[in-house]
Amino acid sequence: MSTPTAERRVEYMPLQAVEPALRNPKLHAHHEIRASIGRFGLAEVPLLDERTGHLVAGHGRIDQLSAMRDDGETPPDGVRVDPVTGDWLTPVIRGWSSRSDVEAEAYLVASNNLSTLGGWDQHALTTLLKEIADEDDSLLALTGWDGDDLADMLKLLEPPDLDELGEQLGDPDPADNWPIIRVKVPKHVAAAWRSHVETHDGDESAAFAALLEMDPGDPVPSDWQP
Amino acid sequence: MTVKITYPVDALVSYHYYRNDRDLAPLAATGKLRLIGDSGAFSALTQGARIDLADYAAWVHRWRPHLFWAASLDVIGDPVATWHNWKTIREQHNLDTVPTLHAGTDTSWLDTYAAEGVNLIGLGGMAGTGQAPRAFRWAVNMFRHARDKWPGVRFHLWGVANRLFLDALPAYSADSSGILGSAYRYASLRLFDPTTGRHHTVALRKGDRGVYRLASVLRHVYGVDPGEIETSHPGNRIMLVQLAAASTQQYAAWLQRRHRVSPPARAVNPDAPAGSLVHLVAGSGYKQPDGKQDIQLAIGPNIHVAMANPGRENSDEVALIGPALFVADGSSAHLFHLTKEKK
Repeated sequence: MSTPTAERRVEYMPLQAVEPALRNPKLHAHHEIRASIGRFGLAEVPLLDERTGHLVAGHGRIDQLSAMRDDGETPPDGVRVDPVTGDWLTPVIRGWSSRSDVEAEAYLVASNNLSTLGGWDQHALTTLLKEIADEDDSLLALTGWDGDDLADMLKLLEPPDLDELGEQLGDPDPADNWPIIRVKVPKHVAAAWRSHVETHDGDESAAFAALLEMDPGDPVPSDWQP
Repeated sequence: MTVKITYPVDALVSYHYYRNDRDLAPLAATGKLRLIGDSGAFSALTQGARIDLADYAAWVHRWRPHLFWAASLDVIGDPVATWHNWKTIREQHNLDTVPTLHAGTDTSWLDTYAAEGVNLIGLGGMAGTGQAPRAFRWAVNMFRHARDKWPGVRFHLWGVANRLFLDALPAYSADSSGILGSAYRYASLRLFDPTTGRHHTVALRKGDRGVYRLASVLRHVYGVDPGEIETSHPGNRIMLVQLAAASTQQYAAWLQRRHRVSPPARAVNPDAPAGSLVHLVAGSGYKQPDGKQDIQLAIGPNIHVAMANPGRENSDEVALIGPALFVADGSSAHLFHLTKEKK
């Protein structure tokens, strides 16, 4: 059960003053996070644990802000610059405290895991991504999926066009679905059969029909046709 | 843990196996299954038995209130004889049954049935070894023909669980045997992941531990602790069967969103199984002719699992096929669970 600690507030801190968690098994998509901050600015604010003084959420964002600063980029929207020192000042949520080290680490894992745990409604997601791509292709890349991903998702979710499929497969052949007869026979019978097939140029159906004194291309006429 | 299954479960019963009331009555009484009826003529033939058309028609009549729909008595490779059987059942036995066109049959036969007002047609003969690629080409052609000429016609794919067919073709329903029992029989679990739209197969053998790769899906989608099915053994067979049924339902739901096939206008029985159980299936609204009750009929495709031969009641296979048989048994712990859930 949570207990009230302090009111949450957003405070601007020098990037280098934000201490990462001592242990953080979460890996990050660096390129995508950086691109996202570049386009959207720093939209979601990292969270600091008042008890430990370490970050519990937002490591990827802090890392990329540092990289952007080191690369000489302009501070993104949401990040201030200290007029005296020139340091980048990042907004950080303050006021939350864990009650123990293990609770802090549990929250670190939870904040990363809970957002993905439910998975995606693939149909709704694909529809949404397609609409985003149709409107602005550059925005699609910022979602973590690209055009190739979307093409794959569409292939998976949308049934193929029957006409295209028909063209790929060609028209049905009347012989497509002739019954396949499998008979287990002694070896000498199998050898005799192979010899018999050779007398019909390897055409098994013709060889079989010959044994029955039938013409494989001339089906028995029925008394009624549609 | 309880496997998350939605009732009713779509199932298929064959006259050849369920001709005795003793066998079918307990299944129907569960109210947990949406049954389609089939003659089982092919199975009968392979076992040296023949199905009498009048006997089959009488069976369909008797169980009509419990059947979503029933197949006609088809003759493999002989569309003329199949047609005559369908006409006889309709005219002499006053039953509208679902005819079957076998792979290779000309589209003119579809025209023939559709002209008679048939709007649900079975496509069969596609499940044989080595047949699939050629049968697929034939089936695509049949679907295109129906779309262009008879847009109200819907299809059932007999014996098809192959994703080549089900992912591509907007069928209303399909059925397949062997789905429920394969996990425990072959210690190989095939599970559908609705978050990715993919099936995953893992071995359920000692030391393999492959099931833990699916831990998240098992827990969150199916309500199953992977530790309970790490290996296949008699103690978890019920769970494995239920899991297979639930996986089939998840796949069917995925297909329904993919194809959005509306129900055929007249071919199915909205009263079977009776009462509100039909409401349990998510789908489009269907107004009964009297307009009094709004019944939810499933948007297709629906995958019906084939029920095993009740004559083999002593085998593990039969004892564990689906929740319905547990209910029919009347003594298992599962019965209590199902009865309780019905409330």
